[in-house]
Amino acid sequence: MKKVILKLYVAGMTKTAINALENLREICDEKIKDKNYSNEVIDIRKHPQLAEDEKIIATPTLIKSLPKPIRRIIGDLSEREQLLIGLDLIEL
Amino acid sequence: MNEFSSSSGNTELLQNIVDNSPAIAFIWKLTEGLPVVYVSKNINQLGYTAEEFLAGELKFENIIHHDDARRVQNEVSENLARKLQNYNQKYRIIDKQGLTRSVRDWTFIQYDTDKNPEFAQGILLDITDENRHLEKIQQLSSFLMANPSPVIRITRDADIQFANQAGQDLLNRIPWGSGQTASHWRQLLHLASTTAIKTSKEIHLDERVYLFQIRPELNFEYVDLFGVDISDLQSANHRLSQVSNELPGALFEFTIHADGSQSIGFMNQGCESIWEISLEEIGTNPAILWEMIHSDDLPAMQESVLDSADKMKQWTHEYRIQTKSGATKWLSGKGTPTKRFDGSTSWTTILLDITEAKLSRESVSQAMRKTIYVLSAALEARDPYTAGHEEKVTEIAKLIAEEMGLGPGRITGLELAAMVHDVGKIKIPAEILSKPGKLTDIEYEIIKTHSAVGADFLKDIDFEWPIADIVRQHHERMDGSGYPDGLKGNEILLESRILAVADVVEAMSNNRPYRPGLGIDVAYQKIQKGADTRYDPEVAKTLMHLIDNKTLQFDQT
Repeated sequence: MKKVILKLYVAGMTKTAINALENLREICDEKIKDKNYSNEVIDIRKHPQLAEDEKIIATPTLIKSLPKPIRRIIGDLSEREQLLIGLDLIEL
Repeated sequence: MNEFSSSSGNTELLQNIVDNSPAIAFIWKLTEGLPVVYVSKNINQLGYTAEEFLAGELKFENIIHHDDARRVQNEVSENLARKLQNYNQKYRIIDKQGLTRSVRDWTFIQYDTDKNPEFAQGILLDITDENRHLEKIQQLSSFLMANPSPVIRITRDADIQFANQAGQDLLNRIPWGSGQTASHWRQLLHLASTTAIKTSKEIHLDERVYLFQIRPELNFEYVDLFGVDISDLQSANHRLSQVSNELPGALFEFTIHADGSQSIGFMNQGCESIWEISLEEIGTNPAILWEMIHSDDLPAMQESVLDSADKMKQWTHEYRIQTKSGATKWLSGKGTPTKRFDGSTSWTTILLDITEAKLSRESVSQAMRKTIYVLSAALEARDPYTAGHEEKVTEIAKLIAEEMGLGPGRITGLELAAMVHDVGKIKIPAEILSKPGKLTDIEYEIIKTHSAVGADFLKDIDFEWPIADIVRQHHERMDGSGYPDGLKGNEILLESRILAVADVVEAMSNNRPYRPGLGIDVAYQKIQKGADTRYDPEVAKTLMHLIDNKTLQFDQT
């Protein structure tokens, strides 16, 4: 399986951002084979240009850039099912 | 070993604690058939007894739900193969009553000195209720997730905590919408993260419009946004208001609330041109519509509206208003009342400006009236003895009608009919008309034709009142003894019943070719006597009242 590349865009380490990160790690460890993934957390307040490029209008936004297709999930990622579907980890 | 754990009293104590706890303790020997070597007494919460297991009458595997049995067995074998010390499992068991219960089982494996698994100690907790709650939550959550309208929860940091599928889709489309869309979203986000009260905001995305209800949670930790796609509603509304704006009149919704206050709901553009004031002004001060009503028409207008509310029947009314420019307008209105649960009544109302039609109708009536005056003058010239009769009858009839409360429109009709009620006499030979002395039967029969003949003259003229019928019936009597048709009671028009009384009173109190005037007293008595048989009792009573209070007086000649 190809490596999964995930970028989490946050606006500062808010409670929601921390929750999102924890939820993301938990599900990746559990569901991505051999933990073959990389997580990057980007604070859009420190990198407004990146937010602009990726068209981030809400935080936290998780973008799965690889494997294609690109997926965007917004929120604290506590909806497991939504997250699994959003990351193409389970079929609908 | 310390004192505490070596004491047999304490073993008992521990056993007591276990037996009284919700957790059921098991010890299985890990040999063929997994015999139970210990089970706490609180197994009775499942309806079983410890003895059943200990005596081997009941095997543990037999109470595991059939669908879970194989999985549980496989997991145990796998865990043992991996030499795990402890693990936990979730499965269903069937209680003594046959009901399915969910349990979580924490197992600790005891190995012998050769590191072979010897015993398994299990703690079972009934999690049936917990599971039910979880299922419920999952159901509700999938309900919310599948809601086709966007639902988004944001924190006070303006972070998105949650967005359902429709919310995710919308949020993911916003960055690719027009610049306006992104700015709407930023405004919404700002409003949501700062507002303390419920409010709403629109987002325009592509061709669609989403209305978001913003609802702050009580302790302000987060704010919920409920979006609705109102594009279709808006365009339908837009079309409706376009159509209504093209209507020639005023279309609006008028409401009287339970507390008596009034408001105007929907208004089309036509309202402005009818009342000549801005929609805004009407909306903020609906009382102005009442203030504009012509003072003569106000009481009837109020009555008509109250009557419509009272009987829940359609409101139809014609009335005059005076606009700021000083112009008087005739309006014709129709409104359908609806009662609402809050006790208010609303009319969907249409008003048309009928001033022009009214004026032209009036000018026609004016011409008619002139014709009628000429007619009655011609009649008088032919029959000098009764000169002034029509005018006097008209005056009396009008007084009676006013006293009886007939509307101004009906009174005008009655007046016109009274002016020409004897027009048929034109056809009667002058010798008979002005013959002194009593008439022969044949002459009287000829005289009697005048009401039908008069109606014949008038029937082709287009009046807005039934003038011809009023004239035709003015010699009919309540008991059917009149002519030409022998009508009775209510078959006779009220106007004719009034005219009959006025005619008799006038004729009797004044001179005739064949007799001198009999005087008002005789006329009074005759009407009094004939009330209810020949004359309408209501009309007779009114006349007598008018004579009694001297409203009606006669010149004695």
